[in-house]
Amino acid sequence: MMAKDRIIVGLEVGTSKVCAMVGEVVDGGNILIIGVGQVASEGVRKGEIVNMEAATQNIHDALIQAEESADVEIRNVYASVTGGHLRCFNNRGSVAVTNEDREITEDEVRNVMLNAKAVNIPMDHVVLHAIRQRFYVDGADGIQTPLGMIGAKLEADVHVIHGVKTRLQNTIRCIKQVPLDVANIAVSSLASALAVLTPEHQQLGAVVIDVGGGTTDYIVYRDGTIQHTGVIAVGGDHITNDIATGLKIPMNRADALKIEHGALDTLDVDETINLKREVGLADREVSKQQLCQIMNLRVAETLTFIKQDLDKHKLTDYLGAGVFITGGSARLRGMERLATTIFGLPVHIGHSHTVNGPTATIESPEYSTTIGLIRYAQGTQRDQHQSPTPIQRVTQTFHGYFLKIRALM
Amino acid sequence: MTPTRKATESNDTPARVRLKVFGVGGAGCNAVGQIAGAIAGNAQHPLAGIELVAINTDLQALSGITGAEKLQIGSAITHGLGTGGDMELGLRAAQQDAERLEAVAQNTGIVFIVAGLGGGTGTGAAPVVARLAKEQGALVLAFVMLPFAFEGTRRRQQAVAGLEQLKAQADAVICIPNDKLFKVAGDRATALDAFQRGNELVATGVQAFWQLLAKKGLINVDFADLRNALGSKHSDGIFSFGTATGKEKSRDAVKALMENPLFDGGDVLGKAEAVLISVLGGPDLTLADVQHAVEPISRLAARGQVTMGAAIDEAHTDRLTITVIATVNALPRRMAPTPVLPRQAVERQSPERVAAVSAAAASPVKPMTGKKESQPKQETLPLEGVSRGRFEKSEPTLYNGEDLDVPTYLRRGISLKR
Repeated sequence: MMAKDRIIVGLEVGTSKVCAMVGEVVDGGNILIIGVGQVASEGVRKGEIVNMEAATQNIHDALIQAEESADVEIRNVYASVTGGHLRCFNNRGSVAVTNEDREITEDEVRNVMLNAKAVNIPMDHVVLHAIRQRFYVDGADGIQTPLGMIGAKLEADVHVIHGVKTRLQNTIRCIKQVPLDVANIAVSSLASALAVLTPEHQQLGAVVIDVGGGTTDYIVYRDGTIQHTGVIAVGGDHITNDIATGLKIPMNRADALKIEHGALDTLDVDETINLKREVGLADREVSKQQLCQIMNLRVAETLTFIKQDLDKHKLTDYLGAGVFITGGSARLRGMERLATTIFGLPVHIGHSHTVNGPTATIESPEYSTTIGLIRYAQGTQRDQHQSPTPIQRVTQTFHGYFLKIRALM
Repeated sequence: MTPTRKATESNDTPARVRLKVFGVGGAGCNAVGQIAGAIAGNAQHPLAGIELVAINTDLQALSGITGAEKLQIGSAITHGLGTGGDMELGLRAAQQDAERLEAVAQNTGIVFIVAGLGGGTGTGAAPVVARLAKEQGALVLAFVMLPFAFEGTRRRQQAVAGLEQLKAQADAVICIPNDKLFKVAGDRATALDAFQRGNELVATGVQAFWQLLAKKGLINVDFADLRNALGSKHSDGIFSFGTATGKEKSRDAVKALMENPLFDGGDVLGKAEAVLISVLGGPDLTLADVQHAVEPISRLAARGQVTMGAAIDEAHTDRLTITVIATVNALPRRMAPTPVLPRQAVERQSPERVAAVSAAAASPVKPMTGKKESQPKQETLPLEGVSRGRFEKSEPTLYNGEDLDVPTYLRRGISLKR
């Protein structure tokens, strides 16, 4: 068996699938995917677990598959979380450098980060990520590492992502029931971006939109740091539901129709699709034009919401590398064209390119989050001093909670 | 609530609708006492002229209140003492004095019940008072304060039980969890401050209604509108307000309102079925101010029926206060079209039934049902009830006040090409 810390498992408990991916860190820090386990998800709606029992069973099955295909024993996993309750904002913290020679030490850096994180979030929320963006020393801009610099005032910008604590805990609780350890958690959009974007893209500025089964997660990079994130609890499930309502067909038929015949282009053709007879269901014909119209309206709406949000935060002009769309629904026909018209920027259907392994797996956009989790894990292992980690914050006891409150007062 | 009565009232001038505030139990009486104290000797006070009633089992607590009608209940049961936190005693006390309570509630358009839940009198008696006032034909709105988390589970359970009963009786119940008072008052507030703020909140809420009805306004709301929006819905509500001065006062007031902890991020507004917006300004209030203040809120409350009013108060020059009360039906929405029974028949049904019927009546979908034949055959119009389908059991995805679980083409009203 291989050394334990070289094997990293990413687990996504998604709305359409539960997927576990086993990565091995090979020489030079490259990642090789050596095993995958995937089952259809039954206990998740809009990115959040609604049926603990079903979800636990799905996780269990996916991990057994992953263990078999990778021939390793899995003890802990890195999990992604999402949900419509997640919120984000940017905040700036500042401290005075008080030691005699005015040199910025690790103490100041730690204190300024604490100060930047000490923000007023709703009582039932918990900070999931507090990601450092840049430092300022005496107002001088764009400093990456202030250690050793001389100055009187140190400031730091952070991007804070927070969400409802109990809802974030559900995923962790399910995984622990399998039983497995959760090494860490990360928000889906962050994981996807790590898989899809290269450092050059991050530097140029890019938005990654992960259109999943139940949610659409997005994240904006600018100058190499995370500038903005967001979750809209609308995904492929909504498209299917719209089709089922509009064409008056059952959900499973609507889903098959979406995948086989669906497209996001508004067509002007008179074409009908024959739905084959299934047990207990009659033959039916549906209009392809209607199908595409329903899908187009839904996806265009969701993408427009994101465009509006980016405009609101004045980010659209800084997306040099363009728009990267990933997630299962990225494969819908016409996605690229539709997104190009909405964003007016170069659009790429993003898949993971930062790992090696079976091509069919890593080149499918629906695996971006799971692969990204392995990248994320690699980063946090290197960066052990970052504390507390998201998992510690979310599972913190009440004691810790009070300490935090006291720190805020 | 007989049809004849309703008709006469809608012809009345708004000012002639009688509005009474009933403080029930210790906390309720405190709130009433505080309002009475503020009004006393100040004819300019926005609430001047309002009728206040303090109802309690505890004679000593009642004796400390001036400026309000006092009603001691259950003297045969508690002998002028409190209930000691027993809601059963509170309930019996109110039942014992039902006739006196009925007499006080007679000929009143709107009855506000103010109570702190968790104790004996407030929790036990308030639902009875609500039922009696309702039987007298009043529109009954309750403002209740829930206990602090530290007051223990027993009080909390009792409060929840009382709240359920109250919801079944009153037209709308607006809860102010005491824990939210912390947010309103700030961390350093003393307990006394926090309770006082709670009472002020109640006063502000009452004032919003009072202004809508009693003040001369740019836009008057009549009682029938109000009854139409809130009556018999047995709903749950939130309440928030904001005040601002200066050039951008309408925009700032909306901002203050949305930042108010009571607003809770506004999730309720998106789900709300009835929304009441009250704007108060000085003689310098312009229609544009009103529009700027109301528009962002009514846009958020896309699903609800919005009732709005704008009033003028001399003392409010160069200031603008906006108050919003949004109510959500407490019972789950039934999608199956329910035949709307004649109003009188509805009255005799169980509260659940009444609520379900009024929910069906209030639902924006309803008018679309049953029109299938009259539509042109070439197009498929969104006729069926807006089903949430796969998302039936999940929390609605609200985004800018829209429920995104509903198919886009239905929300946009786009008919599918054929």
